[in-house]
Amino acid sequence: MHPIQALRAFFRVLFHGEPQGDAPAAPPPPDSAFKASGEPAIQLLGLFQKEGRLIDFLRENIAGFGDAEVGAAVREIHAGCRKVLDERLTLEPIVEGQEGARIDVPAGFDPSAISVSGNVTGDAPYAGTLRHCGWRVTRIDLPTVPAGADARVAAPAQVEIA
Amino acid sequence: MSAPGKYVVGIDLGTTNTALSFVDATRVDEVAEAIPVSEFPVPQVVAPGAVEDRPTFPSAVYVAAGSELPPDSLHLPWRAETKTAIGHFAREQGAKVPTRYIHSSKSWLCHGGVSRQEAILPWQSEEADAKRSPAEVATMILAHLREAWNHRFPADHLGDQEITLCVPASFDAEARNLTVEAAQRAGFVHLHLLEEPQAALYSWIQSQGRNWREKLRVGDLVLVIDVGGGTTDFSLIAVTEEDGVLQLRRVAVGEHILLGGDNMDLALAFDVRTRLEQERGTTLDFFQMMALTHHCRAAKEQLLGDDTLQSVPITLLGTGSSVIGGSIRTELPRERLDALLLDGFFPRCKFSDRPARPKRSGFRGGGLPYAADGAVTRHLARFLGLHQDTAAEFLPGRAADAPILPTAILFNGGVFHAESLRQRIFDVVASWCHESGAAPPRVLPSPELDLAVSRGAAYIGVTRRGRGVRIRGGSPRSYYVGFEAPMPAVPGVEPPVKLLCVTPYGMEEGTSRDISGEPIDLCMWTGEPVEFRFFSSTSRRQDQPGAILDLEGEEFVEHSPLETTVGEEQPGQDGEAVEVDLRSTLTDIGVLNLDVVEREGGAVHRLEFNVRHLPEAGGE
Repeated sequence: MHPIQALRAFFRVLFHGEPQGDAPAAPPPPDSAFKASGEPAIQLLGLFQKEGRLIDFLRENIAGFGDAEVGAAVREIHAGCRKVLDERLTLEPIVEGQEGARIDVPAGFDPSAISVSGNVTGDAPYAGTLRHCGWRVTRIDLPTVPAGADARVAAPAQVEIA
Repeated sequence: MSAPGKYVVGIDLGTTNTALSFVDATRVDEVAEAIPVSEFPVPQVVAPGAVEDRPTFPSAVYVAAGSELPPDSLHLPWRAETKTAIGHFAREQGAKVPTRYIHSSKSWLCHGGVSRQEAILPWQSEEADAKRSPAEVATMILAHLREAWNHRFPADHLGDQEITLCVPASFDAEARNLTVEAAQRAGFVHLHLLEEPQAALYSWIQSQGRNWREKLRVGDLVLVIDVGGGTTDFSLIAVTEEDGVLQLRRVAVGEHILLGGDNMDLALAFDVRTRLEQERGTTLDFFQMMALTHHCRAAKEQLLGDDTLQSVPITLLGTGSSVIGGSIRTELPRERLDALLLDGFFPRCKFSDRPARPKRSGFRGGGLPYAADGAVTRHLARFLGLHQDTAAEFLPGRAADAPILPTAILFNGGVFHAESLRQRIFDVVASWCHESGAAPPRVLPSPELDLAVSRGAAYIGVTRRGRGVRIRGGSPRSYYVGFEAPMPAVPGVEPPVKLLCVTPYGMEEGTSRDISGEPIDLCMWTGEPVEFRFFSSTSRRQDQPGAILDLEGEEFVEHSPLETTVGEEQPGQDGEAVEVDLRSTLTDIGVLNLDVVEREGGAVHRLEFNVRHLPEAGGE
């Protein structure tokens, strides 16, 4: 074919690319893909670090900084960590009610879900004042991880290549 | 083209974000005129090794070098992938490695100054293996949508559904054709194009149900102003009446203006950075600059949303492990926001004001032709000024001695989440109305500033089946081929270029026009490629096919030239002369085709855009 013709044919194909419909089936992802992390606690810590710099903040010696400096930074850290909490967990209060209000603790209550204190005598039921509504995690949704990734990494080192 | 699909799909292939909406056509309630539109959350890589559904799908591509990510980082649930990521993670990773990051590719699709079929993106990157053409990137994004959809609806493949794909109203024929070809390569068969501002108006109609007819009156002129992440797009839609039925007619579209919300956030960030450098000698590293841009966007929204705030504090945490010790505290004061945003991008101006003209530089292909004037309001004044005659024709009741101004405004695009920016545009248009003695415009409530385009596109797919209102539009530009006027040869003087109108403004989809006989005596030699210069105008609505004009004034934009060959090349022989006519066709899909038709025998030869030659000056 004449070079010009060939070039034209090439561009014609580019321009009028035949509709391919569904392309031939691509290979599926390997079985190793989309696995949950073997270290979910470290992974969650890593998310708080990535979005809210939580590890850096807790590890930093903040004694030398003024309240204004700490306060300004905490707004940022709060926003980032809150985002992770909202995206990855659903938290619901264990007891519905106003803190400070009178509340009955029924017989057979779950002591891991309700912690009683003060003048505890005999068996439930008890009557008392609600001091904290408690939190229960009803959903935890952590991202899957690449198979080859080191699960003990909470935050990778960062190197800028010149 | 019949689409057997159960779903009707609308796609907003945006400069910064892509969205897909759909309607289950079997659940449309014709009596209530209620068409329930749903969004498709797009599964995409959101972190290495993690794919999740997200309501937004960034139009961003990252091409991995190979070893910078853990193995198995980029797989998709439906296929193995090791090289490219599209969407959220692509944007995050791309910000760290800009030489392998492709974004805003749609802006390049309408840039006449570069070869849009060549692998030029990421622009100015040296990474040869990462390079893709703007058209290819569009195909990749659309193919991802197709695969994701097929994964969720294995019995109703996207390729079998009727798809309406949105393009900026300002896209020229070449950009529209490129978009259609990209979609076809992505496996979309039952395809229509729709202009984004029209889609936004359809979305408004959808949100109103059957009540929309009570909100618009004959004689209304609706201005749709769409300021997205990277582009500003205007359209005028007139409300007319035919046989007692309200009709909507898109009467004018704006030119392509590369100006959007991203420019505004960057302007604020650069201003804060400069102040930090000058006042404190603080320099920001790369991650801090990214964080600053992000914070400036949030601070902007806070200030625009609360008049009582005088300033919003911004804290950039230290990027090393010392979070508080390395942090930088600064602020975005209201006076800077007003100066940069309201007075920079949305200044009060007169109806007679015009945007500053672009500076012409000697360099070609030097990146995107960003708007030279950042003032959206001055671009709006120019747009309305250019289309006075058009508006007068469709709205005959208006006084002839006063400017014709919109009676209603519909806002679209994420920028207009800020009430005070909508208010500023309204104030400016209202001041023009006041000067000309007209009532201020009404504001049509925007149902969804970010999703209106894809939702409106899904809605129109249903009405295309015969239900509900349609906006009539036709070709938003008139098109011309250029040829050199015959004149005696004078060394050093180029013969003047004449333009032959081949496609009139407003030519309807699904029609064609023949330009034959007298005015042109076109003759081609067999076997020799012939090239035509190709021009368009968004403001010349009077030119009829066959009309011959001088190439004068600023109304014409030049595109890539068109080329075709008649007959076969006969080696060693001169070709024979063949008399030909021209035919222009606007297809149902919305693609413009130009053909050379042999007078004898009627053989048809399609004129193709010659992508190797670029016009002298890219379109605005």
